[in-house]
Amino acid sequence: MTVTVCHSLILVRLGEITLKGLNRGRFVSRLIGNMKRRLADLGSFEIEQSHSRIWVRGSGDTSLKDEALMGEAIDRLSRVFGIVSVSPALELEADYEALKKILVDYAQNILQGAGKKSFKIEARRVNKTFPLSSYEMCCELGAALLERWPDQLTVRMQEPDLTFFVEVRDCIYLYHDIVEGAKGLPVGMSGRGMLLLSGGIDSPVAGYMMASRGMIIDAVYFHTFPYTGPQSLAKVEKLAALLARYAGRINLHVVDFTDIQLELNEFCPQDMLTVVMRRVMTRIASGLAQKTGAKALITGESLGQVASQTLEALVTTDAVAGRPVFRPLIGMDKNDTIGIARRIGTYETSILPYDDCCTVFVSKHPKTHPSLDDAIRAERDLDMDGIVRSGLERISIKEIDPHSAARV
Amino acid sequence: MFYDFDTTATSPVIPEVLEAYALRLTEAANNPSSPHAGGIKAAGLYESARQSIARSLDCLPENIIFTSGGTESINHALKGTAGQLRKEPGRLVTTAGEHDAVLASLEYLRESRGFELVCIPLLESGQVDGGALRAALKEAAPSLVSLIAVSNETGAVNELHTLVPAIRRLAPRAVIHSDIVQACGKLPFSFRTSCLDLASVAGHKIGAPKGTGLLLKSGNIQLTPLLHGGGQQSGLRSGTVDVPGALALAEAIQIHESRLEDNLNVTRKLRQQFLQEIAGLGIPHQQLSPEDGSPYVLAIAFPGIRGETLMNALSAESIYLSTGSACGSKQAGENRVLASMGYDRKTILSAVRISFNPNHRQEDIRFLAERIASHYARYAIEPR
Repeated sequence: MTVTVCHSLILVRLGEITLKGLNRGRFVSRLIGNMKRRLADLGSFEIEQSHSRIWVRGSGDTSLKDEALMGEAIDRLSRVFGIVSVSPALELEADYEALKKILVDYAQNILQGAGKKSFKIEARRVNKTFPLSSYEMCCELGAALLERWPDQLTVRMQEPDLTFFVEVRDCIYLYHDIVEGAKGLPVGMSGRGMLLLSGGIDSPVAGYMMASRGMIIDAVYFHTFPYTGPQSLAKVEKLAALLARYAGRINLHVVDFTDIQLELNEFCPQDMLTVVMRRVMTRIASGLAQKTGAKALITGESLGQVASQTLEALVTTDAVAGRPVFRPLIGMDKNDTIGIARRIGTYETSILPYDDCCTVFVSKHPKTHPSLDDAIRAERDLDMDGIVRSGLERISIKEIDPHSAARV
Repeated sequence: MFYDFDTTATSPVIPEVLEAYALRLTEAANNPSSPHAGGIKAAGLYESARQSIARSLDCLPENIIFTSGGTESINHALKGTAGQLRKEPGRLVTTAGEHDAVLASLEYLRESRGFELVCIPLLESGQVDGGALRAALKEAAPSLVSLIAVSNETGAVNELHTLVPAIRRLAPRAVIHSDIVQACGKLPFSFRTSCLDLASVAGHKIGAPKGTGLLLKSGNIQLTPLLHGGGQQSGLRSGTVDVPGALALAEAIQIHESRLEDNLNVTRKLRQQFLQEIAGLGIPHQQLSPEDGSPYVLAIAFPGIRGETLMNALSAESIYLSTGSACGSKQAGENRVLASMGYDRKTILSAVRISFNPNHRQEDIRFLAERIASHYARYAIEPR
């Protein structure tokens, strides 16, 4: 009896990237780099592209036969932008007898204690030198499984419980589970954006959406200790870490905003306080973007959601941004935003009750339709250059990596 | 090193108690239910803890059920009483000043068993409104009354020696429970003369280890157990008894009882000193606690600065106080006890709870007042 060589590996399918023409090579190599970084602390992996797919194999001591490792790797890769889906798979030599035996073992694992299941085989022969056609393989392999589990299995072509995929290339690939990926474009293909991160529901979702279009995310948070406590900061760090599971490592810039906030509170007309505060934050974020090379700002604003997100209010902040402000939620319904927040796992953290500065320094009757002139007039008594400079001087930077979510 | 003005939330283990506890963890390591010599020795120590507590709290040894703390005692008292009621659904009467453990347990009984739940409002002093209580008792006889002895939010004292007899007169068949968590060891208390049927105690509020507590139960009261198992503690509280914990709790209670009057006097002076310092420093403030309440707890508002802001600023200097019960709502501006006393959201937002205890030194009190003054000057903003 011959010993069959059989490896566990991960099959990664690409989406939009495959549409890219001459840039495709760049997209794929960026994606592979991102995947490597995301898996780095799990072991050593070989990642290579062939036939419009990417294959991940364990190397050295790292074996994807380890089910816990395979699960974690699949989970992480499913959050890497640019990937449409991933499947844990087996790779074996192109030998039909070996395939039959291994398919039965493979099915054994899945069917043990699983109850009655309907199934089908979906075979694809790319390597035409292989002796059986796709159709013949489907029939024979299906028969082999039926023979082994006559009571448990039934064949069904339309929406079966289980589909066993068999692909014959130079080797044979066998898999059944297809885990949906994050789709979008690989982070790093669309430049760098500076995300204004609060502790709320919207801004992490906005960051997620821009990262899905390939942006590297920098983040800035305005901390007003002691009006907001260490728990508010911890909450923002946690949100950044949850976002980093998709966007990759995030540099979180924490601005000590207390003195500025107090100065605004003292010298600014009350009904314009929120508008001026947001203009100051925009200027500081913009100055910071200049330093980090971020070419756009990103906010979670949605038109008309609150007084400071009316069209007029947005015009007043755009006027001082000096670069595009990306607002991916601008036309979205709050419930849809909440839906995304739930899906990406930030919602539960966002709704923790720790205040951000906006809820402490809030005027009872803010001007809802401030004109740009109103804003400029409201800032008359302020040394704006000095304020922005002092804000840029009081920044601490925290590197938030995707795996700090559990630690925060 | 930190300044602990949050001992209403929990207190550090008293050094003498800790020493004795550590010793007993090895000395009394056997199961007191075991028939061998080790078990018999543990059972003897356990009995001595019971005797000691009975002396300190003026009850019979058989009145004592050891529990894991205040929440368990309260749950057992309320759900255990409800479990014995023949006629249901009955009527439950309590106050708006209770700890969450009482309100949530009663709320559970209301929802699951269809009891009527009546919550008596508080007076501006933080005490239960006696008139409203009498009216509620006259309206229909309750099967269970639960009232807190000392408010964990304000230190307001409900005078059990007048309230309990009044309840008895109007509702002779009602079972009466009191949460005495903030009273035990701090204010004079005798279970016998209180005429209570049930009283709940938490060990960690008086320098015993966390995970220790008592439910006091008068002899004529039947309780359904919460925990079923090996039938320990007369079948009322199954589970291997924690002998070292019981001894530590007995020791902590004994220490508190022996120093009770002195501690009260010292703490009263510290509280008074604090109020004088605050006034002397010219910090705008509003005392929310009644003058004649427990000196161990002071609820006070500093209009212009949020309680949370002050707490954060002090916390960064290792001075710990609280914005209200650590068990209560975490949402800013919500405090049902202060709200029931008639305070508005703005006052509640600016309120803090300061806990005094006899271990504080006068210079600690001065330091606290000075730091509050300093933060007030820097961070208070014009109220809008």
